[in-house]
Amino acid sequence: MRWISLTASAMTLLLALGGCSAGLPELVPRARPDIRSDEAGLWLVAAKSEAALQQAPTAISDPGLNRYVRGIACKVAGPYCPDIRVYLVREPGLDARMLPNGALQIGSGLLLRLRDEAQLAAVIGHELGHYVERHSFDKAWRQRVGSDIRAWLGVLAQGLAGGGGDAADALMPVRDGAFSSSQEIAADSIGLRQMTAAGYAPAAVVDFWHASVAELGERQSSIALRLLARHPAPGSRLDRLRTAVAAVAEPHAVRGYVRYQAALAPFRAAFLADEVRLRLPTETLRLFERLRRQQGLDATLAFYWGEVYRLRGWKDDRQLALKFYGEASRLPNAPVALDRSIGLVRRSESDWLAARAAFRRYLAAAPDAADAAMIRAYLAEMPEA
Amino acid sequence: MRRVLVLALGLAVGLTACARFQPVQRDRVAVGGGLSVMGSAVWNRFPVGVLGADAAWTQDGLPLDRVLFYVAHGDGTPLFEHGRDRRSLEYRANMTATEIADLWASELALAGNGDVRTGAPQPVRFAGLPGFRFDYSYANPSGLVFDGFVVGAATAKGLYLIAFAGTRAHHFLAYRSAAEHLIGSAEIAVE
Amino acid sequence: MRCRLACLVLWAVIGAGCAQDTARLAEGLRRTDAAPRIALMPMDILLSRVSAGGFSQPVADWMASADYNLTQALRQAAVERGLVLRSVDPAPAAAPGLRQAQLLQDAVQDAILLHHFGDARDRLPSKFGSLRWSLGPTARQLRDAVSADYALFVRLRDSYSSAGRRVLAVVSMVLVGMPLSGGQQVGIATLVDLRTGQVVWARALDRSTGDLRDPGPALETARLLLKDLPQ
Ligand SMILES: [Zn+2]
Repeated sequence: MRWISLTASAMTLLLALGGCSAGLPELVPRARPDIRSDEAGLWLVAAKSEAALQQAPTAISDPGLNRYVRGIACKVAGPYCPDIRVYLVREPGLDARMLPNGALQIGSGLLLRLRDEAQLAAVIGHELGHYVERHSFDKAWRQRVGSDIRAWLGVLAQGLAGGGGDAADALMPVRDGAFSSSQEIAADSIGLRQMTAAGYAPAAVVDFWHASVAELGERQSSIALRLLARHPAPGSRLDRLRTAVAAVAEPHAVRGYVRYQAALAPFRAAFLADEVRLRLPTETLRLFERLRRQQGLDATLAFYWGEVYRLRGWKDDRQLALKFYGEASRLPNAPVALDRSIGLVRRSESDWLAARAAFRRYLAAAPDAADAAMIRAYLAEMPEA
Repeated sequence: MRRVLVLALGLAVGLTACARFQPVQRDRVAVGGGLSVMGSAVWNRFPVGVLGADAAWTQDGLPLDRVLFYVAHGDGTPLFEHGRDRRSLEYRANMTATEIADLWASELALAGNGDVRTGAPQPVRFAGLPGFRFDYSYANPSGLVFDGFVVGAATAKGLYLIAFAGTRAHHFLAYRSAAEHLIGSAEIAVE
Repeated sequence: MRCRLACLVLWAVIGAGCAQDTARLAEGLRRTDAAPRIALMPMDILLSRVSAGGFSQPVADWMASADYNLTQALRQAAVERGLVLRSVDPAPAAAPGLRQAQLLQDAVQDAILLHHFGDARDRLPSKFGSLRWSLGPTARQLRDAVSADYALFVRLRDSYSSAGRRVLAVVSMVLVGMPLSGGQQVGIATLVDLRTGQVVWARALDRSTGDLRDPGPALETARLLLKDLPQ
């Protein structure tokens, strides 16, 4: 019995080592895995995550925004619309995640980074591709086989080398979250097909991945750009995408820039604040460059740009912060907190006169601010000019 | 086996191997850095820092309620512990309460919590010194919501903070008066 | 295996007990009601297969049968102790308004595992070894949702070695002399008085035997879980 199992295991190893990678058949709409399958276990765990997602304190509950994103997802998903459930969560950084069971989690940081509806359609289409092609299941299977191989090799190597020491390292499962390049190509092609069918401009796909890779810069990875860690986008993938997009001529295709920015406008300041809160100044400044290129500089973006410099506080940062606060103040709809931030920068420079003036402007504009008493205390503590 | 149990049930408290909870006497307890508070037997002391604190006290366990003490925290060091260099998280001696509250919110968010909110800081007296106080709330990675408040003061010896948090569903309301009592009894020894 | 050794060492050095199959009662828990209304809350059960490399895969049909088997087994084990367990409809127990109550109950079970059943060094001196944890006012919400005076919460993780892992374990033992951990059954059951919120009884399981996939062994697990519940 044992030897039969051993032989079976050895066969599995050989198959896996031989790179036997026949893809799984696509899911058809309304498909559910057989309860006896390994895939069903994955779906069950995903269902538990989905239940938590539904009631998460970080869930974005605004019905308008949910309706808007769901509408786009449904259009892109086409026949798979009933299989895809969208969850918006308040989460800085670039991330979206398709669970194996069709629950699609979209982070607020992704929404902030998108230029238009077509880019949103591109991301949803790509994630849908991973769902339809059952890539999570395929990935889990590969990881299991990989860990089995490492375990066997570890034990055999230890045994043959005569060392009784630390085989445990070899026995720890290694988790590698990234999709393979062939999975990325497959997801890209489904995504492109679906978004084009929904009437969106395919060029948005290239824009989106290009801007995301540019935001990453020369780094290998960033905790702010988790999407890129899971969906590697090397130059070869972008080239392939560019070629595929060029082949799809679509003169009347929709970008939906104005509609998208209008839907996002009420949330933009809060999402920008979430990014600043991560205190990854280099990354956040790159993000802000991306947003300025896409949408231009408005008072809100200029204010948070100043905030990044104020919070970093390197040698020229105070001046840079004041420069951006100045820009914000000249643009329409500057936030009230602007004068408080100017006051804090001036105070840290011991420029008591300017600090006083800024704090007083803040109090005059917001006499009932929740922190008015604290600001008055700062005024009282400052030495006379 | 214990490791398996802990992992299997998703405990993530980050207790070190030699950690040991100690009883608290009903007497003045020196927390460190010249800070002392009136103790009570309802508390347990966890000597190793949690979230970078110099001491952590709890009634029902760190996953449910906790009082964190930061004492004589110096210029140029982050409040919480960080694996890599994070200059943007360093405390600066000339920071205002507004900036400290922002720093606190950043630290909580970076520790994996969601929906982090901080209330507006208010001027209060702390250990007889001019200080500040602000409320905060967050949801831990499993989604359990906590409420809390921070009271502190920046002194020549560094920053002193006492931060209380408890589950919104029960522990915050149940233990807030005990936490207020600790804070009200705080004294900072002048050398 | 390794823990048992560690426990033995711990016991020899500082005389601390080990946390294997132990139950703790809140002091003064007595059967006051002739027929207390006890609700068996929707259980949190995860069954998985451990591959040769230690990769753990959840198995859906095992979970479905384990849920059924353990529910039946717990009711029978309760009857043997003169108690009636009522299963509750999962829908109201999972209502959005009860989400925080559920998460709090999970966290309280975590705290009990860690500070009550866990390593002796993690005990909380203020508790003096007694089981004193509460769900606070959320208990009343649960009481309204399930119409019962007590609620039994069960969380179990049950894992089984795959054939590949069993073979690897033998090879590893022979070649390297290092044992591989096999299947585990770990979990906790707590009984909460929904009128006061107090956790009145708790029991932890941590062993390398047990099987919830079949009714017979599931009954054995259920009996073990409820062993010290007051008759
Ligand atoms: Zn991808």
